[in-house]
Amino acid sequence: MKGLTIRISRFDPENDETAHLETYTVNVNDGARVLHVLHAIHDTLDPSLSFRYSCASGQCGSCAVHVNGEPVLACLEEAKDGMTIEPIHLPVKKDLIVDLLPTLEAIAFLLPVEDSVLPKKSEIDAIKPLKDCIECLACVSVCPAVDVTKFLGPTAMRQQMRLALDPRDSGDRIADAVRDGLFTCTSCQACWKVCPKNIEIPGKAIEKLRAQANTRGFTLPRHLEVAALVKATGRSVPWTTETFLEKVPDVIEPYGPVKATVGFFVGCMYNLRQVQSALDAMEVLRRNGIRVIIPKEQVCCGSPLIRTGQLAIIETLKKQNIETFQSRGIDTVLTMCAGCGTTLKNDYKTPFKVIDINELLTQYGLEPPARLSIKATYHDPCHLMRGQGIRDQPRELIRQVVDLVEMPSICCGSGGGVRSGNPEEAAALGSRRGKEIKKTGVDIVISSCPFCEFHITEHTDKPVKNITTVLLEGYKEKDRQKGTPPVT
Amino acid sequence: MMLTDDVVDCHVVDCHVLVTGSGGEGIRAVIESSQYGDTVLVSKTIVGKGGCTTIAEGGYNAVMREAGA
Ligand code: SF4
Ligand code: SF4
Ligand code: FES
Repeated sequence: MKGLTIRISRFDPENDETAHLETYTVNVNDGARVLHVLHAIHDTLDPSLSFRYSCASGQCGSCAVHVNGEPVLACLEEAKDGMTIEPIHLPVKKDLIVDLLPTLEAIAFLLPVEDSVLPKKSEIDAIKPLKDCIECLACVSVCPAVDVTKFLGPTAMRQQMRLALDPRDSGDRIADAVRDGLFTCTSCQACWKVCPKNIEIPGKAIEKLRAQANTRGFTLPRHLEVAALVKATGRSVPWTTETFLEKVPDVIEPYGPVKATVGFFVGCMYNLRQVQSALDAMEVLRRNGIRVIIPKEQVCCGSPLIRTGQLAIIETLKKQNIETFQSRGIDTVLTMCAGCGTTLKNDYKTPFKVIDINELLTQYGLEPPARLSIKATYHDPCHLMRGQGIRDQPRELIRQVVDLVEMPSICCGSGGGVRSGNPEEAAALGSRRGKEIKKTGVDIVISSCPFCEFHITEHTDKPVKNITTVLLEGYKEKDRQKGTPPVT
Repeated sequence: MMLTDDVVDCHVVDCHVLVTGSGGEGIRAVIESSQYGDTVLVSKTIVGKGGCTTIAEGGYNAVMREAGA
């Protein structure tokens, strides 16, 4: 037995205006789950505590709650001292019980075809990764698109794709998915990272539905324009000024001894829109012993097309990028755009290793910058934190140069083609981010993704800077303190 | 049939038959008994989510002959 002190969100609609946290201390067995704690409180301290459960074994999806802000199944999650248990983000009926019914009813049923035949083995295999949903709605609880649009949610899309693959179903799943908000998904990956059944909804349902929607003429006009631009120019951003690739030599040698050699994949945004950020990154790499090879024939990674279901020229882009780096004998390709990084790592099969700049700089050890007397917050790019699992490395770098004030990690709304295709949704999510930034009281916002940096700038009055720009400022300050003339 | 997911209101309901549990067995019992009188089903979770039926992976026990009942 052990004693645990935990906090639980309590709300009784008959007496309370808003929910409040109450603290309880209970004894439970070692290895107890969150559900055991709820039972212990209910049975020994407060019989009015309300929560929902049924199977107690992770199979019915009745018991999802937030523990320390993350959705989990109460019956599977181990109880820890000091945790906070709250309802998932759906309308609360009482304490931890939320109104599941409207969202469950939005999950489509199979509409049988006449004279149906059993699915073939290949069809069953295709359906398999989508069929294990226990309808716990953890995914809905974290979906940013659900919060600001009429999107029916991740698991509703999962079910549409599952049915679209089933020969026994007669529904028009693609048209229904488009109607229910298929193009509002920001591709933030939050849903499947919390899914207790690990169902990869963005890649295996939403992108697949979007690809089928593309063949049916449902692709949004703005997304078609981007595809046409990539087809014509190899880039997803229009040419305006001198590009990064035009400005830099083919090889950038470090100032000191070479610790590592990498090929640099710049990506459309840093090549064409935020050129200075990429130049700052090169300077930081020079100071840290990284030799950078920059093949000029590289093109768009294809991410803006893959996320919006436009797959026609993807194989051509992949082939060109892979050959470009491979032909130079490069064994490690460096990315600094979170979107390109996640695409090269997860959508390509590369004969070389792909590494993000935050990984690289922490791996080889950073020349210490001077400390800047400012406070900063860090925005986790979805495609870095969830797409590549990189959460600690940027923080490790930032803490060396400024004081870091944390804020909750939520999508800024710029991904998945939402900024171009659904600007109102993107603005609603962006302004939500702006409010979180304001709460932190910081001087600057740091991120590590050109899309996030560009989008968040419109929703905060604080400067939004790339992580390498801030490191470079730390180096310049160091040089100034030492009296070393700045390198130009 | 009236379906509620009401966790708040406490009210007294009269019925001829009270069924507890919303698995396949409970639901089948309710369908049958509701043809003969007022029936109430009580479930600890949303009907369709609870019970063993929804989580049974293809195996069911059922009475096939009168004598087995
Ligand atoms: S990827 Fe993000 S926006 Fe898209 S369905 Fe999942 S949680 Fe929602
Ligand atoms: S997809 Fe996963 S998280 Fe969403 S309802 Fe189903 S099991 Fe739960
Ligand atoms: S109680 Fe059934 S999944 Fe937790």
